[in-house]
Amino acid sequence: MARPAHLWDMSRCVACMACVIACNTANFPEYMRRGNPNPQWSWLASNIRVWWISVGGRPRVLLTQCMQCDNAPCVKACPTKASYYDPKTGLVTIDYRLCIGCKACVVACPYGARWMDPESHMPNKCLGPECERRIENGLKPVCVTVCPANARDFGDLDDPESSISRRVRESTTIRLREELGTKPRNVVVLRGG
Amino acid sequence: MRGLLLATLLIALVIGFAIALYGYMVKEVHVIPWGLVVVGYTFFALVATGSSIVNSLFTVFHYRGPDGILEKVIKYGVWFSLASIVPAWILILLDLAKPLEGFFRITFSLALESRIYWMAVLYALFGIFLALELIYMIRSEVSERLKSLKILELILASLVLLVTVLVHSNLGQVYGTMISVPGWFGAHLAPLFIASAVLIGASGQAIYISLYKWRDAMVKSATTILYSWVYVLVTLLYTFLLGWVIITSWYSMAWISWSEIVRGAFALEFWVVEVLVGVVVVLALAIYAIARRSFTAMILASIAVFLAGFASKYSLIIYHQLITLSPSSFPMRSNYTPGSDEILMLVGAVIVYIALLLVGTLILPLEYGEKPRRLWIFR
Repeated sequence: MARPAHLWDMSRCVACMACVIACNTANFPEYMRRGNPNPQWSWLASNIRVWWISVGGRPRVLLTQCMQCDNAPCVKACPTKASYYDPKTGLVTIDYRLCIGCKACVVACPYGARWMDPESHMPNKCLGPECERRIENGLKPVCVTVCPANARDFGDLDDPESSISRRVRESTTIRLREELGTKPRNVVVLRGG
Repeated sequence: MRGLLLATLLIALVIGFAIALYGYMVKEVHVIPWGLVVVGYTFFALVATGSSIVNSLFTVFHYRGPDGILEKVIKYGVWFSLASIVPAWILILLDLAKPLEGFFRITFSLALESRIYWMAVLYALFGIFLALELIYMIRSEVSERLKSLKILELILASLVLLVTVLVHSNLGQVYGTMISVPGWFGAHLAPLFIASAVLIGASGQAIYISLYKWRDAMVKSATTILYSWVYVLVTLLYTFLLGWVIITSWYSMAWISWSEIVRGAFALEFWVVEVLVGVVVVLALAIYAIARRSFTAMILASIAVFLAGFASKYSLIIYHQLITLSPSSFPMRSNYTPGSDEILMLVGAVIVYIALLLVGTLILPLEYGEKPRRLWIFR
């Protein structure tokens, strides 16, 4: 099974939010058209979450999305096996036919990467429906495509020839909250190669 | 008069259910995933299972209590436990996006790693065993053969107790396994939930039985002693466990939310409601009730335990979700006020609960030695 992951290079990111808006328009076009927000995050209906943090008194932005954990708490917490690892893509995925909207996965995620849909009352997460289609067709997710600073990438970490693997090798990287044992795949680049 | 009362209660049952259903239909998404509805669910689950543990003092351990009171009111106690689980089920199902298929999807998913999967299985077993126990108790009043099968009674009662303890522990660990909420994470919530459940369950049972039989001087006197002793002993145990949880949180990330509860934004509520009312007032009233055989003091202590029990569950479930860590380990904070949808669901479930409890009390033969006359299932 592949181990797909996102890479976000914070040394390149210019915080233009193009990725956030692209995710919104591509994956939740109806919400974008109607101006419906994500009430849980008080933010756009997007799978990318924006954290405003302070480092040494200076404001900084941190962009996160589903970390595609190898040891995902959301998969373990799900009482109906609706959250699962898709054997075809290797992604943590939601089977909406099985999901009953108990919100256990939303509570369980230490990255706050899932949000409840205000209409269906089902959880949403990265990758959204449009991005899943793009992956199936060999394309990259919309957030990667629209990034003007080349701060994003997506690919299989187990494939040494993939662009994401190359960037990981050439950069100083961290994974968020590794101490929790969730084994997040997503990579944050501190200093690019 | 009795028929009129029954009709009124049945109408209240329907109205309560309609209110809860309306709350579900206008449901909104809130800042925290598990809000007031989950608090209500947890509270009633603890009322049901906690009172079941009190029942087991007689059914499993054969402790009859002062003046043999437990034996005399045991059917009321078992019915109280059974009726109390209903609002918990209503609330947890209404909190789902798909309540109708929710229970079955969970039960047959075999998602063994999920605590919520085990909750569904254990709730089903709890309801079945408790119903069987009540049916056995009622039927054995008319069947000598059944009455002589003491081993069957003990097996049923032991199964109820076993499942009850498992329900408590597992419910505590639904929260305790959430690595995302530092204030919850750990094995400490299971014992805390058991102690809390016994307190809340005993208080609910005391209010129900004592007020229903307030004309019976023997029941009043005996329940005063029995429940007051339960409050004194279990409040001391609960206080120790809570103190232990707070002190150990000092050494972990859990302190980010516990510190807000103990000395931050939620401190007033914690010290006034949970500590002053839930511990100091309860202990004072319970000790006074034992010393002076004061029924009024016991009832006041029961009300204090009941209210503080709800407040402590609200605090435990809501506040720890409000103060967590961002993915970069920075403390983050949100604000939450229960929505009208959540309040409607809770109010509806409470109305259903009270109406159901009283309907059962009216139609079931719950008196000591009372033979079943009405319902075919018991004859």
